[in-house]
Amino acid sequence: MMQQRWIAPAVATLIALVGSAVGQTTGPTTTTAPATTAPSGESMAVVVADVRGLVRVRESSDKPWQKATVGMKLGEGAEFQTGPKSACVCTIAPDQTIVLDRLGVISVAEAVKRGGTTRTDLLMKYGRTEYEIEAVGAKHDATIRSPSSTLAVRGTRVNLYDQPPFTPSAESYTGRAIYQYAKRQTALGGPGRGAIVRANRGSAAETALGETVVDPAIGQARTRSDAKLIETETSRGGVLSFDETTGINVIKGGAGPPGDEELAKFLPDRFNVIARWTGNQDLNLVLDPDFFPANQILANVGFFADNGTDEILFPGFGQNITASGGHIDFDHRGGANGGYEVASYNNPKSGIYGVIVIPGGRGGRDPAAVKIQAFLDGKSIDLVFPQLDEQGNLVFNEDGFVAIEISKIIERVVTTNETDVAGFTFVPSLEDLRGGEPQPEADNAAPPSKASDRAARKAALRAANDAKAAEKKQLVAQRAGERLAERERTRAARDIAKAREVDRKAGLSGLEGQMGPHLVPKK
Amino acid sequence: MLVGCQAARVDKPLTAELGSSDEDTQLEFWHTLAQQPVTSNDDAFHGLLLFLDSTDPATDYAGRVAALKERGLLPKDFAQPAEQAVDRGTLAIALSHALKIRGGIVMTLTGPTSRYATKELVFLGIYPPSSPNQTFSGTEYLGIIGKAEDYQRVARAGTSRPLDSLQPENDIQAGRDKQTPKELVEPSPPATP
Repeated sequence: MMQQRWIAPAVATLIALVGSAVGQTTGPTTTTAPATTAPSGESMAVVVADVRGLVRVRESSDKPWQKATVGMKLGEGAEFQTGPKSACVCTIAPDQTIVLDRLGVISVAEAVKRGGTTRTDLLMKYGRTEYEIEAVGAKHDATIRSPSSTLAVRGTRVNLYDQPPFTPSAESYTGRAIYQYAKRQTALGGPGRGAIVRANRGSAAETALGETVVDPAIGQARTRSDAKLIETETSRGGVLSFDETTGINVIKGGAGPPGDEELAKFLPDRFNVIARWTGNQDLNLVLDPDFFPANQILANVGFFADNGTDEILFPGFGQNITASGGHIDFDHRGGANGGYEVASYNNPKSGIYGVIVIPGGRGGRDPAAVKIQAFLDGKSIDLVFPQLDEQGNLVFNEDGFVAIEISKIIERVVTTNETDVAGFTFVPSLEDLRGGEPQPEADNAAPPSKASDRAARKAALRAANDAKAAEKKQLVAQRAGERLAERERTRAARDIAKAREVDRKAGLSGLEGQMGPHLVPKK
Repeated sequence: MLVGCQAARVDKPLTAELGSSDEDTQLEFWHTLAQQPVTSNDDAFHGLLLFLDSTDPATDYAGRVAALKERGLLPKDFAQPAEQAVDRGTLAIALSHALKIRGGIVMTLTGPTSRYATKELVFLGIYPPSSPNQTFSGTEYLGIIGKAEDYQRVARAGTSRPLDSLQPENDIQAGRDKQTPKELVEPSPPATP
């Protein structure tokens, strides 16, 4: 009776999982009747590999339930049930793993090896099941049935969710899968990347688009480049959500950080600082700028933190947008492939920009190898960071000062306890600034070249222009103030004249300047 | 018309026979509830206590209601009978409190009322599109509890996948009795150079 209920009459579907080590795959198979026990073949054992929480099993529908324990061996007809906050991991040697998640029910209708093909037929009544085949040298014909979905997978890991009252969904973590539901079929995932499809969307792309959330705080302020950046990440397999606590879009998973060759399309504005990392950890990129005129920047390098500013750019808590136009569009919380975050300014003010990378604590806990870069008008610019030795300690020079590293790429390893990944960069770039400043002592100092002369002249010209613009602004403000004051004086004089006229008509002349109510003579 | 306006009821809540907290009975309760057409108040509150605490010390419906009122999960004036089908709004209020969902500005100002708590849970994906006056079937109730657990897992471990978010040993108390490391809940304040 229970089995018949699982075979939905009109839209009975299968999930066919087919894997092959050499990439040869068979197409998805669809049947409308439960598979019967194969007439021949070697029965495979289903072994309980891990039990978390409340899990019970029985060998068949007519046997009593018993508590699941690690090491139990069951065969065809076995049923599994999990409670809340529970999961059961089973293996079918040598290469199949089934994970039944919380509040789910699954049974093994068939697990047999015939010739070179391993045939597995699972029935999931409701819940969520993750199924993995390590397709190494063996051919599989695996079937999971749920009341309303089909998933054909080519030797990868998939997750099927089918639980009323929610829309069924299928997710492929790695590799390609074909998802069939209600007479529709769609492909999801690909080599090295995953995707998710909900049964009420036509494809993985539509699912990703449908789950894209406009930040309710600043949705109207999103520029096209911001939206494009987020769309790019979701199209690469990242899962986008919105964190109500931190108030920012959150991206998890996905293909990981962009490579060097495709970096340009991930930099939305004129000035961008990007932190890319590998390793499953949540890292936060923070910018702490202090603005100075260009000709004062280098003089304030040691002191800029003392000025204090509320322009800190942080991925969340309302600090992902600043008054000077800085923005971080999403908080990437890492994933198996790592992640990245970008802080951007379209009209960056000149000054010193402190750059910090800190653990966010809302993702995995693996050490992360992070690369930090800054770009101004499409060009990679220098970052200044303290040097670290192999143990991650600061390096001091012979004068006792922290030795610095000036580089266009800063690489560090960040653990969840790391607090010292901090340095700074400049707008204009350090190269441009140095063009107008004496070079620091160096053993191999080269004589000034034409290029540095040009840079110096450029920096000086820019500084002069900035000063002129500031002066002009001041003058305009002054003149506007004067005009306003003049207008006020004229208006006040007019009001006084009008009041005197009224008083004269009312026979109150001679009372100007006297406070208090005036007696109005009776008519 | 009057009959049509009456709330749905069950003949007998499952807790009459499956109300104890031992592991076998808990599993039997959940998967029997999945076959029920409607979830009663008694069954819903028993399930909620099992979900939150993995145990329900109350022996009857009055005890469960008192326990939930004491924890602020039910309004003080809640007085619906045990057999009545649970409102989505009532459960939304309880889940909002239990999962520490603050909601938007209206919910912050007014507190989690039936209407806004339901809206908030719909927004978070814990509820399907719902009205607070609807009820749940048994299998739908399991789906809601599953989503609430996913919400807790993501808040705790950043993922809802079981092997990444459940402890290797029996983790039936996960999310309540274990002290969550602080860095998993709040980010460190941004450092300045």
